[in-house]
Amino acid sequence: MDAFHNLMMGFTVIFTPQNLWFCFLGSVVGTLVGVLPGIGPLAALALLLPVTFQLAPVAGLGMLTAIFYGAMYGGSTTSILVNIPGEAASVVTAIDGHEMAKQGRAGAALGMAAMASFVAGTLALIAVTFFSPVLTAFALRFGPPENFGLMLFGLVCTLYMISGSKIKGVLMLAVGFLAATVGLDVVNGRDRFTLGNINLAGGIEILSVVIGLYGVAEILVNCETITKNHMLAERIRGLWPTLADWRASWKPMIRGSFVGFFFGLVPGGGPVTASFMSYALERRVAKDPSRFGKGAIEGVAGPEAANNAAVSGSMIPLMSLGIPGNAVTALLLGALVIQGIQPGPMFITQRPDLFWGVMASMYVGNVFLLLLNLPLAGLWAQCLRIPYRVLFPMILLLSIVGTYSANKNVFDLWVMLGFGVAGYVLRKLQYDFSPFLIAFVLAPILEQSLRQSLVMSPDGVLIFMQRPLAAGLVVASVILAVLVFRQRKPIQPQGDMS
Amino acid sequence: MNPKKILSILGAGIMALGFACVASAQISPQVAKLKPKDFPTQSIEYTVVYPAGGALDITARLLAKHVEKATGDKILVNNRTGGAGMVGHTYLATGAKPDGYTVGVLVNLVWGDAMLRANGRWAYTDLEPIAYINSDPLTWVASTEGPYKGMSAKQIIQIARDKPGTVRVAIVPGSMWEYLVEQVEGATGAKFLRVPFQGGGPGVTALLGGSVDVAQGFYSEFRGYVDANKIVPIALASEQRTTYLKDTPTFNEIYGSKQFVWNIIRFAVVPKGTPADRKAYLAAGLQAALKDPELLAEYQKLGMYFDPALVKSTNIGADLNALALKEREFYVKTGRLK
Amino acid sequence: MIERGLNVVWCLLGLGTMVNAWSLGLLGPSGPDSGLFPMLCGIIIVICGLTLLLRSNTYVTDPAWPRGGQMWRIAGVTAGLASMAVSLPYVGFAVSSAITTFVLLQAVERSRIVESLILTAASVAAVMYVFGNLLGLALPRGPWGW
Repeated sequence: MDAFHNLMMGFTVIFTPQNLWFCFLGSVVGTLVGVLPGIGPLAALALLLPVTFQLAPVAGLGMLTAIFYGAMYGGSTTSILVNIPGEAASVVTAIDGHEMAKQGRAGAALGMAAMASFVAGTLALIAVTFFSPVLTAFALRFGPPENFGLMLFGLVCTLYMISGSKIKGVLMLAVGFLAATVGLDVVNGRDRFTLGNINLAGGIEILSVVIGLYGVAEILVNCETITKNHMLAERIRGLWPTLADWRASWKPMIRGSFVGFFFGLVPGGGPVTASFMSYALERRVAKDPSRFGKGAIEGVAGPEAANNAAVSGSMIPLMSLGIPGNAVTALLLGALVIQGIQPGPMFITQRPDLFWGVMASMYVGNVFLLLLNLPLAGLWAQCLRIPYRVLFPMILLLSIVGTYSANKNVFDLWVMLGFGVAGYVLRKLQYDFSPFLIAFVLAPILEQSLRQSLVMSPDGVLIFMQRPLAAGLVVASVILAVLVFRQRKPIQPQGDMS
Repeated sequence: MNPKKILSILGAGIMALGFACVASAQISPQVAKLKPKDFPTQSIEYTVVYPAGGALDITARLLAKHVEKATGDKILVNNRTGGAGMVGHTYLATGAKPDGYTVGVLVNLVWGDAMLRANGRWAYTDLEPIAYINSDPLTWVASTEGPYKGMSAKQIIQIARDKPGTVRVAIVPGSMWEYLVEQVEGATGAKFLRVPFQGGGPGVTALLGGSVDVAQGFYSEFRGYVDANKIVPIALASEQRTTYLKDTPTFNEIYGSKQFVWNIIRFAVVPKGTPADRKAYLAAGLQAALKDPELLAEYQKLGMYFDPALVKSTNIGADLNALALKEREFYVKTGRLK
Repeated sequence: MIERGLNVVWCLLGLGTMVNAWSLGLLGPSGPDSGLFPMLCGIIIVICGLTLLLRSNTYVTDPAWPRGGQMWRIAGVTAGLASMAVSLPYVGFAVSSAITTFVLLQAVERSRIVESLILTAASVAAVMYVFGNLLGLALPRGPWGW
C-alpha cells in the first residue's frame, strides 16, 4: 500500500488553492486547445512554457499536463460537430462521431466522448500509480526490434480500417508511407524526395496534413451545399447518451483504455496511433462491423478512451526514466529541466512530492475535465445552430494560425492547401484517408527501427526471432495479415483476436 | 478561504496566462549607454532552430529571461523547427530581416549545415555571432551493466579493434556523433557497429535498454542517469577535462592527440547586415545577462559548461569563425567537401 | 474522366518514385538502404493504380463534381487560402488574414459587405489578441510593424 500512501501525500500537495487553480486553468486551456482546430497540444504547450517559469514546479507541471490530456477531451468536440479534427488524435473519432451528429445525436456522442476520456484517464492513472516500476522495466525493453514489430502490427491492424474499396485503401497506405519518407533519412542523413526544397528537408508536417485532408477538404465539400441555414438540418435529439449507448460503450471504453495505455507506454506510440488502433480493434471485435462509419457509438467511446489513456501511459517513461516518447512529453521534460529539476531514474525518489503531486493533479484534472465537458456537451451541440458561413472563416483562420505556429514556416500553409485540394478530389472519388494518415504516422518509426535493428544485428533478420517480444509481435502481425487477406467478404467476428 | 485570497489567486493566474510582465527595474548602465534612440520599438524575437523543451531551447529561454531583466526589452522565443535545424538556419541566413529584431540562438551544427547541405544558398558568414553562451563536449557513455561493465573507453575501443563490428555505438548520421566515431576508428583501427538515431537522447535511451553498448551525449542531458548509476561517462571529446566530469579522461589524453574535439557550442547571432548600433546594443544586453551570476548558476545547475577561451574572447565573431574553419578542414580531409 | 486521369497520375507517381528510389540505392551493407521502402511503395502504387485504371467496377458511378456556382465558391476558398500563403511574409498577419477572411466570406456567401467587414474585423482581432498577445506567438509582421 506504499503507492496508496504516496498518492495521498500527493493529494495533500495538490490541495492548495494555487495548485488546484492552475490545474483547473490547464484543464480549461486544454479543452479549448482541443476544440480549436489547428492548434494542438504541442503548439499550446510550447506557447505556454514561459508561463511556468513563474510558477512552482507542481503548479506549472500540473498545468502543462492538464493541457495535454485536456486537449484529448476537447479534440473530440470539433471532430463530432463539424467533422474537422480538433487535433490529430481525434481524427478517428470523426468517422462515427460526426455521423452520429448528423443523425441528431451530437450530444450523446459528445457526452460519451467525455465519459470515455474520464474512465480511461482514471484507469490509466491507477495503473501508473500502482505499477509504475514494472511498466518502466517493460517500456525499456522496447528497443528497435520490438518497435519494428509493434509498428508492423499497427500497420496490419489498419487493414481492418479500410472502408470502401480495398485497392484504394492499400493505395492510400502506400502513398502515406511514401509521404512519410520525404525529408532527411535518419539512417544516413541523406535527403529523400525533397525536390531540392529546403522546406521539405524536415519532412512533411503532420499538422498540415491533418488540417489539409480533414479540415480544408471538409470545408471545400461543405462550400458546395451551403445555404443560409446552419450545418445540420437534423434536429438535435437528446443531449445525453442513452442506456443503450452505455451498454454498447462500456466494453470498448475498457478495451480502448488498455490499448491506449500500452501505446502511450512504449516509445514510438502516442495518442494518435492509440486512437486508430482502438478503432481498428473495435471494428474487429464488433458483432456487426458494417455499422462502423454509420454512427456506431463504439467508434467514439473506444478511440476517445485510447487517446486519453495514451497520455497517462506516456507519463511513465517520462517521469520514471526521463525518457520522452513523443514531442509533447519532450516538451514536458524541458519544462522540468527549466525548473531546475533533473528528470531521470532518481526523480521519483528525490522529488516524491513533485511526482506524486503531479499524479494527484492528474486525478483531479480528469474530474475537472469531466465536470467541464459533460455540461459543455449540450452547449457545444447548440453551436451547430451557428450559421456555417460565420463558423467556417473562423475555423479556417484558426487552422492557418495553428499550422503556422507549429514551425513558423509559411511553406506549411502551402502543404496544407495542397492536401486540402487533393483531399477534396479524393473524397469525391470515395477514397478513405485513414490508411494514409496511419501509414504517415507509423512509417518513419517502422522504417527506422527496421534498419536500426539490422545494423545492430550480427545475424541479420534473425534478430527479430531472437528477442521474444519482437518475435511475438512479428508473428502476430503475419497471422493477422493472412487473416485479412483470406477473408474477402466483410470481416466476421472470429473469437477474440486482441 | 476568504474572497480576497481567491481574487489574488485568480489574478496570479491571469497574470501568468498573460505574457510575463517585464520588470524594468535594474537596467545596467553599460547597456543603457548603447541603446539606439529608435530601437527597439517592438518585441525582439529569439529564433531557436530546435523544438521547445530541448537543451538549446532551455538555454535560449533562460537567456531571454535575463536579457529582459538587463535591458527592459520584451523578448519572444520562437522555435523555427524542421530538417534538423536546416529550416531555421536557412530562415536566419536568408529570410530574416536584418533589422535587429531577429536574433538567432544556435549551436555550431550550423557550420555543417552551411558547408555540406546549404548547396551554396547561404554561408555561415551570413550569420554574425554576437555572443558566446555555453558549451557541451560530446561524451561517450557506457552502461553499468552488461558485457562492457566497468571498462574504460580504451578497453572498449580495444575490443572493437580485436573483434571488429561487435561493439554497437549510437550515432546521429551526418553529424559530430558520426565524425567522432570515424576519427576514433581512423586513429585506432577499431571498427564499430554504428546504430543510427535521430538525436543524442534516443541513443542514451537505447543504451539504457541494452540496444547499444556505447552512446554519445552531453552531460546536461544524461547526468540524471549518471547520478542513478545507470550509465557511466567514459571519455570526452574536448581539449581538457570539464569541471563536472573531473574523473573522465579526454580522447586526446588517451591517445596523445589533439584532433578529438567535438563540442556543442551555443551562441547568438544576428543576420548579416544588421545595423552596427543595434548589433552592439543587442550584444551588450546579452553580455550583461551572461555576466549575471544568477543565469550562470542556472546554466551550471543544468550541467552546461563554459569554454574558458570563448568566455574570455574579445572578438567572438572571429574566434568562432576560426573554429568553423577548423571544422571545414576536417570536411576537406575526409573528402566531404572539396 | 477525372478519375481516369487520377489513376494515370497514380501510375506516374509510382513510376517516378521507383526511378527515384532506384537512384537512392536499394540495399546497403547492412540491409535496406534509403531507396528500399520507397521502391516498395512505388511498386504498390503502380499496381494499385493500374488495377484501378483497368477495372471499370472500381470507378465511382456519377461522382458529384461541383457545377457553376459551386465551382466558383470552391475556387474562391482555394484562392483565398493561397493569397494568404503568398502575402503573409510580405504584409504581415493582420492585413493578410483580414483580406483572406473577407474573400472567404464573400466567396461562400455573398452576404452584405458591411456584415462581412464586421465579421472579418472581429475574427482577426480575436485571433491576434489570443495568439499574439495572450500566448506570445510571434505572428509575421508587415513592413509597418504590425
